[in-house]
Amino acid sequence: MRDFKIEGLGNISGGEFDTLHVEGVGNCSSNIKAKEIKIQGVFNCSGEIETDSLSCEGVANFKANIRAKKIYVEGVLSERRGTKIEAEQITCEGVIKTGGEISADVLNAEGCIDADEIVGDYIKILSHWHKNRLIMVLNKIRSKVRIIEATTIELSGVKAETVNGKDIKIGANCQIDNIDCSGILSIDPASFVGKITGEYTRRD
Amino acid sequence: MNLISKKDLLAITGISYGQLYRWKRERLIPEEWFIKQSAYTGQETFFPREQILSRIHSILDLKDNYSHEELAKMLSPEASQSKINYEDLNQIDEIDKNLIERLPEVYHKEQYDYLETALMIAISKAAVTLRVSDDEAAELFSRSIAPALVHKSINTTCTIFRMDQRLHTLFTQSPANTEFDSGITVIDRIPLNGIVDHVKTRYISLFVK
Repeated sequence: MRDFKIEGLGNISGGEFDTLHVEGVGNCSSNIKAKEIKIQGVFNCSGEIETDSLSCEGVANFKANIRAKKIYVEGVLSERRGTKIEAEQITCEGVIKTGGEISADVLNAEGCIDADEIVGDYIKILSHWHKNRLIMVLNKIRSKVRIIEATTIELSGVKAETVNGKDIKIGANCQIDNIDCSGILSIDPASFVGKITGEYTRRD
Repeated sequence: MNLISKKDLLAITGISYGQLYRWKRERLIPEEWFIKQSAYTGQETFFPREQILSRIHSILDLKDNYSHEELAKMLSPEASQSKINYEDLNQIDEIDKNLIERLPEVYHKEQYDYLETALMIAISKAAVTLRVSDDEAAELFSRSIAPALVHKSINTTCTIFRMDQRLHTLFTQSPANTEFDSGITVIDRIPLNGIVDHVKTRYISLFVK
């Protein structure tokens, strides 16, 4: 395997890499398998991604499934066509936008997430004003997720139709239509919650 | 089809959302078993009851002794390459000993794979339940083996039914729902992957590559 770096404008047709580093504008037309993918410029990829580590400090547009051990997003990662993002750990200080599912053991987001479903073990989304100007602009709209399902969930600034979990903490500025909780539930008074079901203990 | 809701599944098995989705990500639970249906709360996920319960019990039994990668290989829906020698079939309690004795006549092989072994167990189970003769069980197995192997996958449901006083089998991709007219009596619907999971849990050391 090899290291590959796109510094200006470059196209690749996919393949296997040790490290794929995009500093300029890169396009990829097929699947990529790499130990590490680092995006600091703009990267458009229509193939599937399989990697140990994906870090996006620029703008990445994907059109197929992403499977990684760790994903770090400080810029904007968007996925079209409703495909899946799967990882053991996702850290998001920027923006993740997908019409599909995000599945992770741990998702820790202080940026903005727009997704159909987020599932996993520990999901924490705290969407708030950020020092980073890009995030401020995009974050006028809080995180929007149709369904969130995890063992432990912590949210603020999130709009969701359904939140299901064991221990759920709803912080400020959330709008949740339905919650099903089987453990400890806390809800900030500055949030709106519709229907609550399950055998839970309320601890505000 | 007998379904179980995700909420009930978690309550019955004691597993967490995190475990369920981790096993799905690691391909230990097939994605097609997650059946989404609309509910009054918006949407609810259901699973084929017998298959998911069997699979989760297998994972819980095996997870301390095998890595997730090994487990994924063992529990993958494609029929495993591992086989069991004819002589070792006697160590599988769930296979009728009379059927094993008759095997050389009706389906002679030196080694049998997981799917073939699962079918032996399914037929043995039906033979005990229905008290059919050894000849009838062996003949049913003999007629069933070819259609069972057509799917080339353990993700198959074996429906045993009686028509004109004679037992028959029907093999469909799981999860599947088959309905018959009133002239046919359905005896049992047996997901073969549930049996294979059980065999792998209890008898994996008997299977060699």
